[in-house]
Amino acid sequence: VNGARTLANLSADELSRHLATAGVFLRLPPFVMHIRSSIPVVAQGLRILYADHEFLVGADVFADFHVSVEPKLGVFKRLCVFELDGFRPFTPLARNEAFAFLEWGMNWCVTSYAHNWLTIHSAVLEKDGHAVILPAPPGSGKSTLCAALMLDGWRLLSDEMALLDPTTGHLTPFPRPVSLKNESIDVIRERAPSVATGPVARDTMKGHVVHVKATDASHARSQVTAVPAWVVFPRFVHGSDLQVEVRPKSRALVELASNSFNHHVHGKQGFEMLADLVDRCPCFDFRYGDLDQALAWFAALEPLR
Amino acid sequence: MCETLPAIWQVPRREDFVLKGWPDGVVVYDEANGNIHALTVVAGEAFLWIREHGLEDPIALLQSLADENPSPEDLASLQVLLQEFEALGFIERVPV
Repeated sequence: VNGARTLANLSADELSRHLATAGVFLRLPPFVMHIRSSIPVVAQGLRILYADHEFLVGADVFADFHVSVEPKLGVFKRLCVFELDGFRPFTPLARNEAFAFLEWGMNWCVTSYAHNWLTIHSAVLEKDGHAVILPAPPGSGKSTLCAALMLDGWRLLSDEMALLDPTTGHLTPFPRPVSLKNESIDVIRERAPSVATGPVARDTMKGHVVHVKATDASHARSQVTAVPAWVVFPRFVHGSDLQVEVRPKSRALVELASNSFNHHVHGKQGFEMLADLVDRCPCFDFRYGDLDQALAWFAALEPLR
Repeated sequence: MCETLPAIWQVPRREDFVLKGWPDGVVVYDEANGNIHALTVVAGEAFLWIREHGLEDPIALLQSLADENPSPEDLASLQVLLQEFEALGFIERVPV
């Protein structure tokens, strides 16, 4: 890599200019994304949330994905479109959602094309070398719990996907900002008023969306894999006391598979990887209504010896 | 297929199926379509038995699953299970 430096080394104007012209080659371990956009909110979000990430320059820089979010004029409102190599996989969104669109689009790139790993829709965090996988559908409180755990000292590997290495069974980090929606935004801001957050995408299909910056510790160890130790299926229930039950292994496997983006691509090996993961890790159904109770339970987790 | 002709239940794509079992249940992976199915422990044992032996005599299978002689209810339950297996593409009837 020639001349790597971080986005923080660029002024706001320089970053905007790069993004609007040749684009920015941004290292998001384990990938390099080539990002182009002339929309100010994209530059704003990248500058806040990826300040510590390497910005690569040089004629021979390789990017895993070439993506862009560019303006499009709708009949009644200003829109934006996401492109991967000129291909538009999604319908346009409102212009104010451009940064969130970039985040969602980059997730889609990885889950659609990065089949070196078995990918599972889940948050992944690690402490003391042991990783917890939190698979859950949207609306389950996964990202809120993930952000709270990260701000409580857990290392973030990902808010959106587990990247399970088929050769080692270890989890590859892909630490990116944590996506919060609606009430969760204030919940996390109240717990961590100084946490860096990106631009607000208002009135999206998911409501209001804000991204929270990954902690420095998460970013600093983004090349260090982790060993899966627990699988926890979270579900937020307003006002509920903490309820944790051991999930039967067979049900855990079925649920993990249903949350996997690409186990079918890996065939029998993919199924056996998931089964092995379930075999090795205690699995829990985790119903919570109070983040402090939830964090205390995670703090007391002991890995199997 | 005419039900009166002698036939045997068989697993037609033996190599396509991977089974993982625990005391709480069995999970089957079908490589032909990538589908995953959750079975009870008994259903998993029945599927393994059919894969191993084929099934001509349901009584023999039921006796392998329990110490006592099968009841009419057991036989009826097995018929339902066989229909479900057939619908899932796990087994098919082959004339003998």
